[in-house]
Amino acid sequence: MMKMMKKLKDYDFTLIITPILLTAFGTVMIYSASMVSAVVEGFESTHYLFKQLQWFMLGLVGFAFCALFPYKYYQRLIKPIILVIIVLLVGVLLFGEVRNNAKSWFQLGPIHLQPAEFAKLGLIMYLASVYSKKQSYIDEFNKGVLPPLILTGLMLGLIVLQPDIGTAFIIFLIACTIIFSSGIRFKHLFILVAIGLIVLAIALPNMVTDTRIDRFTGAYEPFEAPETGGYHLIQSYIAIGVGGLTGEGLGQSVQKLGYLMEAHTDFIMAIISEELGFVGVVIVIGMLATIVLRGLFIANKCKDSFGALLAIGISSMVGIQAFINLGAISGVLPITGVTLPFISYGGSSLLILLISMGILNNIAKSVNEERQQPETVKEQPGLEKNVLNYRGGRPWSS
Amino acid sequence: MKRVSTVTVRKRIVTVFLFGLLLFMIIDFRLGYVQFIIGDKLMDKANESWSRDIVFEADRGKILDSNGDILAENVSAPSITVVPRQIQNPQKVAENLANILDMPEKKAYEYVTKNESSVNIHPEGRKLSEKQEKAVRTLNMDGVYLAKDSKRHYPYGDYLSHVLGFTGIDNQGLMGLELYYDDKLKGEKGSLSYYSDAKGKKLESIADIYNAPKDGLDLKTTINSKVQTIMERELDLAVAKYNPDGASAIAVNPKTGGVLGMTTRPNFNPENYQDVDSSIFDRNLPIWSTYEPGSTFKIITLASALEEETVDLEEDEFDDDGSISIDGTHLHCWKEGGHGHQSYLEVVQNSCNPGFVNLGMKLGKEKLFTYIKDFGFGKKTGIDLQGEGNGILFDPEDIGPVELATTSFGQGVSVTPIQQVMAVAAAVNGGNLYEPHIAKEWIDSRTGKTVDNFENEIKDKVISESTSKELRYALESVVAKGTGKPAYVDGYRVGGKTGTAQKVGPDGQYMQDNYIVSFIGFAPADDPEIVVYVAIDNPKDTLQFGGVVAAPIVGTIIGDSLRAMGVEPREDGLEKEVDWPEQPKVEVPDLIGLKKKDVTEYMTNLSIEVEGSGDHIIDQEPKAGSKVEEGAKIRIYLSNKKDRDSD
Repeated sequence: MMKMMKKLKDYDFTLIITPILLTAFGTVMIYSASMVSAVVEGFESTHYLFKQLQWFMLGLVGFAFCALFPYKYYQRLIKPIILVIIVLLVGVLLFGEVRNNAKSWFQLGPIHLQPAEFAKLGLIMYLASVYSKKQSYIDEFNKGVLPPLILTGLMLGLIVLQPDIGTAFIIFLIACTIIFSSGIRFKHLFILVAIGLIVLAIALPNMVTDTRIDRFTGAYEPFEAPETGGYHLIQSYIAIGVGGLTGEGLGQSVQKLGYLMEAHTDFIMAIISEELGFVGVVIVIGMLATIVLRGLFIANKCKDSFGALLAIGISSMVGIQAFINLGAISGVLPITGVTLPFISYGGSSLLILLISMGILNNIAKSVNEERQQPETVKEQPGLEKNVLNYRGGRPWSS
Repeated sequence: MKRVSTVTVRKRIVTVFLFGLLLFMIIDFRLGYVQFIIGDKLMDKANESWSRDIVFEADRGKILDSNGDILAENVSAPSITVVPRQIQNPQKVAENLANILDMPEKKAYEYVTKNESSVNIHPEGRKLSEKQEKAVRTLNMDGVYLAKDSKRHYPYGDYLSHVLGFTGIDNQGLMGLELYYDDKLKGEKGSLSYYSDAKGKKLESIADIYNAPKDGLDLKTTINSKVQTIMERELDLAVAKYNPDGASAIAVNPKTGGVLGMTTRPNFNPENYQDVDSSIFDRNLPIWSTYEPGSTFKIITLASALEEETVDLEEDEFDDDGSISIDGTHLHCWKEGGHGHQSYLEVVQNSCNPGFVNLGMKLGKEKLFTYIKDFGFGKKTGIDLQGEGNGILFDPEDIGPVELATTSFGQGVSVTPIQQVMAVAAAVNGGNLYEPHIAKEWIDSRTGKTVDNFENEIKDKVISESTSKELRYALESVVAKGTGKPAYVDGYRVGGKTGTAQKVGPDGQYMQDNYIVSFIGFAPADDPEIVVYVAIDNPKDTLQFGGVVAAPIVGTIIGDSLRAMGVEPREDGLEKEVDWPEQPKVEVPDLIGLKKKDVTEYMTNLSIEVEGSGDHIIDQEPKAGSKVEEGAKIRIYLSNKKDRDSD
């Protein structure tokens, strides 16, 4: 019993409580935002609420499991994990269900699965694994940097084919963050950026559609094109503007009544802003920031480079998604259909996020455990001289 | 083996950390900006976007005559609304609409391609005629709709046009009663403001605001449509006969001040007011025009003198030698050589100018002008129409003996017809000066119940009942025995007074052979029910005398109106003196030596009888220079040769 307690003590409570609170809050907001549109679509008003609650429960199981499951095993399981994900990504292109002009979902009975969400976590694990192994020769471009990018490129390509540009873009940014954090040389980083730009230049003409152009112009001059590209943003602005400091009150949103499309998914923050005001917005962003920054904090503390990169990947996944989503509803970025982590409706996404949080907790636990046995680690010989100028930190294992 | 420094990695993580922090701050600031800085603007947008107004037009109130006869009402006249998105072939639709609505095709194309959910074609597509409506219905174009709308309809056409006025495209009153009583006639637009979702579906959670439209009230007027019809008819006849520059007529109930009828020539059809020059619909002559009244004004002088007891009509006498000298100025009587020895009753009957000058002198300037003001001259009567004239009186300091004298017989003062009518009404109704009015009652159009009454307002008691009675007798005798004989109506005891007013030309001088001839009459003299004034401006091809032109018109109007109003005929009136010789005579022109075709110009006030054949007039009967009654026969003898001696 004491041992259990002791083990629990090693967990990072901030990282347990914040995601759960955020998800619970998100579920409430999903109900508020979707109860009308659900009825309009011919369901019970609680349709989206219950579906999200199911995923929440499933996510909690995943959360608990991953919090207990030692993260280091992922490194060993990385090959089957990647294999499964590639199979899923190819499978969804062949057998997937077309929704919103994209083949992004599998329908398994009542459950809709979005393989791209799993690909995010899978790729984080893969890159963390690969770059931590190559840590000793990360400064060699051909040997250290390039090989993993081929698989990354393959996965991105499969997602772009769906097409799910938003998710592909997020994965790309997550990969960039991990690569950047892995200690890559700036010279190599520039080469990568150059390659990226060339690929973009080739891909761009095919990706430019009227809708996408509208979304871009809509983001910067929404009132110029109120009927087309600017519509969503104007409606989002209205929702945010109406909210003021404390909002109209929970459930009182008008914008959710058909004005703001996807009120319970992409634009849920606009509804939160309308109903709960700036106060609600700051609390939500604060909680999201807490998760991201806490994750980065753990990454910083983690002496195992796989754990550190995994933590960075997970944190950046949450952070990047949050930024792109919030950027879109506030008109800083174009609208790309990226959901708000923990809050927006979306089963696969929530499941992956809660699993990720479980993993992050496991990393945090091991960091805390290590901290309680400082002597043994400090005794490791032969590495000290490399980090002489570092105050009390520990070198990456090699 | 090269090793990456841990320091580098940690620095990188810290960089990511700081970068993440920065991004969250950017988002927070951005959201704060949207919420607080542009929030108010967005709030307006939100209300605009959420609220839907359904406008319910109120029905404009009808205008009715005193018996409930409709003078102005609403008829359905649909308007076109187009829904651009439903139009498949805008070019074709624009072409059709341009043809039907008589507008440039380019403009029509702009309407049907506008980036709006629905477009009203304003003003071209508003209030379609029946023909246009039918054309639109027949073509049955996609995306072109006919929306319910109404326009004002005046069942009597150009009848009573200046009084009724007209309404604009949005049924707003622009003229006449339509303007004066617009507030209550137009009612209040209703609206249903409700919050709705994006599909326009009503939101139950937010209370909607329903303002029921309030239909305009029906305005019942004092106008008697039968009297009005008679007046319109008579003025039409007068216009056809005399081709005057203008004409006006007013009928008033002297017991209430209510206007029974009022009309002006030239007039217009209120439904097509756009086709008429504004100088026509702007000028409601009975209340707008101001001119020297001439002899009708003598009624005021007489009333004042009777009230002040400065004259006894039967006992006092006056010798008229054709002119009277005031301060060295000779003021002439209209009758050359004068009327000779007369009682004052005869002075009135004869409309003898020197006699009235004498009356004015006896009264004195103070008293006469006090009475003139008391009778309401020099200021607006307060009739419920826009555009009333003030009239002009002499400045008290400028009134010398000559001004006093001319004012006594109606020259040198400038008045409006309505002022004269109200003053005379007061003179004959027992002395009560009423404020003239046209509105009688406000009626709720749904229940038919009277909501509000307009009170008859007595402004002043100007003379006593007994003076009024005496005056009525004197004026009845003018019609029975004097200059007003053509106004005589059997059984209705018409009283009245002729007027022949000189007009001041643009040079400030009196115009030659250009008069406003008028007659003001009332009946029955024992208990007047109606006062009628008719003025004809510059009648052509006639003797320009009020007695000749205006009196018969007033007589007909009074007779027909009283019959239409169901007033009992009287039996105890003054008998018409049939052999009264005082018709102004016409001097026979010298026709000898003229050609036959030249004679036509003399045929207007004389009738010509022809003897013989040929082109040349060789003789005439009676001789040139002799005086004959107007319309008397002149016999001319014709020959082929120029003079009779040559054959």
